[in-house]
Amino acid sequence: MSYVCGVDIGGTFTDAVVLDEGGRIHLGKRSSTPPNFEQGFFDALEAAGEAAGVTLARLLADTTHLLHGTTVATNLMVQMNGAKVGLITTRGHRDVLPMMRSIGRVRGRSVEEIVRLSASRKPTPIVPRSMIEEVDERIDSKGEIVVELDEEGAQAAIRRLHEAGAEAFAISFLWSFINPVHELRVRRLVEEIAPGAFVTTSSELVPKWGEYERTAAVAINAFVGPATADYLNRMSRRLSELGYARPLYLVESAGGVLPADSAAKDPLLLLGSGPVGGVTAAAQLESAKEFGDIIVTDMGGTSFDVGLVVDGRPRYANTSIVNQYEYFIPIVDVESIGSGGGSIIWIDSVSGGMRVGPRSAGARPGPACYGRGGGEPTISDANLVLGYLNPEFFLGGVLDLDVGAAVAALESVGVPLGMSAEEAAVAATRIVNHQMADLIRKLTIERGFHPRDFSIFSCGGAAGLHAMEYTALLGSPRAVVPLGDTASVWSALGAASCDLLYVRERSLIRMAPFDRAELAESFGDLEASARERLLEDGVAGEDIEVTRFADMKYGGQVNSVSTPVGSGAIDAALLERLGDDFEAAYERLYGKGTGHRKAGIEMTEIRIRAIGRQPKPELARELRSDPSPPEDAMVGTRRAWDMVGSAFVDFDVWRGSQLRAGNIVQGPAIVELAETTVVVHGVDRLTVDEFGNFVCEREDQR
Amino acid sequence: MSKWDGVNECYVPGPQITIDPSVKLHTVADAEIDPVTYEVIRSSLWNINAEAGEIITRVSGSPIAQYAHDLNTVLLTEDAEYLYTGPYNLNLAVVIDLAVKWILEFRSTDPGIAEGDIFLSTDPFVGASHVTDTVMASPIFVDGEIFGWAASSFHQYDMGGSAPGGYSPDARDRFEEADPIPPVKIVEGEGRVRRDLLEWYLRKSRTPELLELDLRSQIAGCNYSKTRVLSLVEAYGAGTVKAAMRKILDDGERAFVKRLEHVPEGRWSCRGYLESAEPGDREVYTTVLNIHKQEGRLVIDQEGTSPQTGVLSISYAAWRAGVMAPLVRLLCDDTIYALGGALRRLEFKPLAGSLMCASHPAATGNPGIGICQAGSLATVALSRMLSTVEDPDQDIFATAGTSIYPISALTGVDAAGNYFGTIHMEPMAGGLGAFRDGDGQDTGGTVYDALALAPNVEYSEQYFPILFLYRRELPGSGGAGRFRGGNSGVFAYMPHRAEVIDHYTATSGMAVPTSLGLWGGHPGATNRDLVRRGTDVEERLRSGTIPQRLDELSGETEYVPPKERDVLQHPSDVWEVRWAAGGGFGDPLERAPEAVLHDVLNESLEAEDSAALYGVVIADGALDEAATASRRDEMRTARLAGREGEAPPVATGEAIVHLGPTLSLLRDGAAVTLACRSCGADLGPLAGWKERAIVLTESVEAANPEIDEPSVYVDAPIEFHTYHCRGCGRSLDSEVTAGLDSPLDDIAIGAESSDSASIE
Repeated sequence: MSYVCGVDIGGTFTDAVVLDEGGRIHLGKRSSTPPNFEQGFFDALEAAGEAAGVTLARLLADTTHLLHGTTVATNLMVQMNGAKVGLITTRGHRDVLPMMRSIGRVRGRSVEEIVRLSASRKPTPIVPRSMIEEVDERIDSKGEIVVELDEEGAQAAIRRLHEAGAEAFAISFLWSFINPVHELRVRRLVEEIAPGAFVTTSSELVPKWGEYERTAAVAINAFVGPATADYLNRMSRRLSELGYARPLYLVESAGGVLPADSAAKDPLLLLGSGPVGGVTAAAQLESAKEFGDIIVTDMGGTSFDVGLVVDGRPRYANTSIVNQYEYFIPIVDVESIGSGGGSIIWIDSVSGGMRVGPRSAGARPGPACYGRGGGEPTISDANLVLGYLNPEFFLGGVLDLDVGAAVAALESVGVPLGMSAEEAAVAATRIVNHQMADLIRKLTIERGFHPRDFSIFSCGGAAGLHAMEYTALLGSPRAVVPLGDTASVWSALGAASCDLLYVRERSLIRMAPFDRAELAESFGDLEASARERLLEDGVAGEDIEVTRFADMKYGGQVNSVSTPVGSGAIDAALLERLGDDFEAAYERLYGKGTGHRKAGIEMTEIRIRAIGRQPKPELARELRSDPSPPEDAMVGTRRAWDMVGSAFVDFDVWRGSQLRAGNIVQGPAIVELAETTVVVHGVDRLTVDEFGNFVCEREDQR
Repeated sequence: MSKWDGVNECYVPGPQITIDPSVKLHTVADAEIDPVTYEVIRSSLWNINAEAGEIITRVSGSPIAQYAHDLNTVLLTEDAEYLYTGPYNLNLAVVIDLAVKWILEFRSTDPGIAEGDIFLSTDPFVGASHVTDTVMASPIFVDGEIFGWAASSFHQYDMGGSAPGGYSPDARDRFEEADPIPPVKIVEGEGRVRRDLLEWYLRKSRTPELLELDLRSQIAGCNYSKTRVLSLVEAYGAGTVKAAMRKILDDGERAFVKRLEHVPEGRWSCRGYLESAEPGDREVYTTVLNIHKQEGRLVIDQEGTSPQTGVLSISYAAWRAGVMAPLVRLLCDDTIYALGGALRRLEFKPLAGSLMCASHPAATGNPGIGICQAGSLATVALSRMLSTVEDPDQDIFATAGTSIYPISALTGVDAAGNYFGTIHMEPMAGGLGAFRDGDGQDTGGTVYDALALAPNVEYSEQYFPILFLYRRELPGSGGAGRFRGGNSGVFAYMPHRAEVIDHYTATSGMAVPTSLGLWGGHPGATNRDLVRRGTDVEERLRSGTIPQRLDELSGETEYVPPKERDVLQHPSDVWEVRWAAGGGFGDPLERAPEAVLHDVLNESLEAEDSAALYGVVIADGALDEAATASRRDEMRTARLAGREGEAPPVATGEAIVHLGPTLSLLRDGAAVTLACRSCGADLGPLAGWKERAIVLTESVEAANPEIDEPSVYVDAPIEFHTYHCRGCGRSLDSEVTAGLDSPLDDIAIGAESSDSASIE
């Protein structure tokens, strides 16, 4: 037997999935173990192995691919305990980082923090000014050298930073993405003066227009570099001790995986990769194919993440925001808000109305019903009081929930509003459902899509409780809890389903008509570099797939559209089609008649995505049987609140693990799984398909 | 008919507006709304309006929207009260209610207002910030009645007139600027754009294609909001949505009144100056803002402001918008800008024919001067007023940098033969004013735009034929104080691949600082444009060094006046721009020495200024505590040396109000007296107190290392005064004056002091 394993480390839990040759999925869920996350990694993997009936050593010996989603780099940013970085910039432009184009004061902050002037400040600098050195050198917008690099000056700058204790060096010069010669020379000098130090250049990491974003990227890369490299080395060592000799692959925010050595060099690519695996899974897995375009939602304890899959591919964004710093690397477009099971319910003193989140009770103290000392009411308390959660079967019975504590907490906000605990719970649930629907609306409508054209995947521990409600608010046809209980470890499954991916890109600012030969050569260079790397990784030539893109916009305008550049030789016909495709894509995104043709078309960047396809085990299917579920799958009834009928009624309670393909569960019903719970209201029905997806539809949407 | 009809005088709606009976307003709201439905509708309305702004930005593709954020969207009730304004430029938002009220008054009969209509206006006399800001407003009809309005305001690159971009430094009246358009119905019925009006509109501009795209983006924004509001009406019923709208306003009003609850009755004033009404003019002009707190409302007037002149004037709508920007930040932050409720409690009393409320036919094309000035004065007056509220959750702050936008435009033809034209956007990174409990953020943004964004150097160098030598934060530019103002910045560039660049300037705040401090805080840096002529910059670059200061270069430095046309820059000329920084808060001698040390080590302050401004002695990168203590003692003693006579006695009585961190009013029986909050010294009656204090006066350049001698620009002396306690020497307050102006009696407490001029 051989296996593919995926492990995803989250803030609270570490999840593992093991896929065997028969297409069966085995789950393992264990507590995360900060700061030594590798402990949780091996615990979860061992647990999943146990579920598959093998020891950890056997599992690792027989594993062909081990893929891993980690928040190690993200945590370094959150806790601001990265390396001491020395930054080297062009003379006269040292302040590019501290100035943050001004917007850094508010980027990524909530609207409440944005409107109040004193409520947001620029973040703690990743590199203090005393660790930034300027060097005489200058290249202009055409890539021509205006001022030669002052090598002696550069050496002195490096020495000073080295003596001041720099553990990592970041180099970012103006226009280096057009002409990297000075950056590369200074990298050499760093390697001579401070051998072994982590060093990163903006032209190699993010060869893109915009010096602030490039500098932020390279500074962050250096900041998280040494500790991420350490973590990956420790992990690789431990794996080889346990008998796993193949490479470890890391989920990157662009929606693929990188081998550990690449990730150690450019750990920036791992930042924000947390929710990416889940979106990738929805794009990759055969079991998701029949649902068409998908909105992937993930509701955990503290946040609600949303991404899109359109035409079988995740939607990408070109901007990342980390600690209010912004940089440009293509990532799977995921938006988040602080709506989760732990979101706190409170009263706004201005309007006297009820509000939910964004503050969360987190894992500690957690919701009031956890009985860990949390007194403030949360969405999980509301779900308990409304009868959706089973106090004796939470997380498969691991934690007993305290109904009395939940009621008391809800009364603390309900009574001042003249509401009982139950009424407060209904109110809070409605509010949080609307918040989630609003976020989805923002992610779709602002990007030119309508949610009614999507199926909604509901992943994460808390999603099944709310899925049907926000789905109905959006007018989407169905909510899917993918692969039943596996939905709760969806990110780990996502990691296991990722392909190797190298994104190569460069700025190329040109007005149409474009120079055919230049474009062919530029794409050729990018493709050759990625192809070479994939072959080195052992990917067979026929498993390599390269797609090309050009970012284009109208002259004098700001909206740029990433336009696919067809495969094959770059000739006149292809260039003509490229222009037409751009115009069509522009109108689709921004509306009819919005193209400013008279200003001409300008290219700003070219990019390739080179994929090394990984083997995907075929997921096990079960033939559809009788629509009536087996009788013993129903374990009783429970009084719970029907959102549509607005009343407490008896819900049938089903053991989800005993439902079979083809079974239909008519609401009102609650389907309990070990790690998640699905609420089926009176007007809803749930169907189990041959993969084990739980598909929920509402009467009027069917 | 009032004379304030938007024709010869600016439009100022009366308490009731007259609407043609053919137009019906939807006014029926459910009596009750459950709190959850309310919360859902409230947050939907906020999101709808914010998303409409995103749509405008996206559809237009305009760099003005993307980089300068010069737009805003609003949702209004049927009778044009604000529900929400978007998180964009407030100066553009708080004019739209006026435009819509005017439409209801003057367009409801002819051509009438019907479903699907969209009105367009650029008339500052009616309700636009200036003549290149296009307001578009669309009624939202439910069952044949106007239920509300969806509207936006958006700065256009060019609308004609003598100066490309519209910031004319020398227009003598409005006939030498782009001509304003009073509201016209550009879209009639369901989405049909009137072709005749469209072509007439586009014909005005140097960039008609961009104008058309922007117009279409605003139509898309209106339509988006309209559709979404109607879907709320469909889901919840018109009466329920209207009840939510009413509650947003009522809550906003209640919240506003509550914020004013602990403010005593009284008047707070601020005076500032603008210089140079046209090229060659060396005069200084006065602007005043008075805020009267009266029984849960604020009355705001401009008594004391100079008559309109040259290019310094703005309209009533622009003045009111300028005042509202800091007011919203200070008093509507807890309702995310639901300023409609606050406006019910505000009364604006303009002075016809003044700099801050022009009469026909004054030029009003430079809102970067006038609106910004109104905002700066309002920041100070409101923050002083709110200083009486000793609640740390109540923000107060000194004036933010970019207190007058340093409009410095460049145009020309590059080496490839392409026309270019732009104004610098770097000053969007203003240094924020100091807070009551913390420093202003360096290069942190502006008060009027919550999402202020400065461009990359690589953006400017890609599209304009220039090469930057440096762009950096400017140490010490923020006003000194117990909490210092945020630093602004400076940049310099040379022509690169162009033979000549043609500049014009249309700004102020070069001679007189406009970022004022609070309670003894110093003003922030002034705006400045310098050009170093005939330098060796090209040889210097060839030899491998990049000059970092103008005076490292050969040649002569010229100061560019605040209003000038056709200042030419050749390849050997280096142009440098400095933009205004934030004002300080409190006495600089009270700043924690560690904070001063941190600033010096962080290169936010030059070491030499630490001793001069703060009395903090730093040697070899460390604090010399003993030397600092004795230096500060010396400075305090020097202040007291200016005292005539003995120290005053300690005042007796109960504090009836703290005016701020330095002053209290005490009552002892029938007597009311002002007292120093540090030593308790009796400072006598509030009126005229500054003249009885120890007054230290210096020319204004002594207040901040980044303020120049005013005589470069103007003839009148510009002075910085600090007013010190006659008991302990503490700095109680500070002020900038021009010419022979005496200190302003800027606070009066009690109902009798709050009489204000009434509007005719």
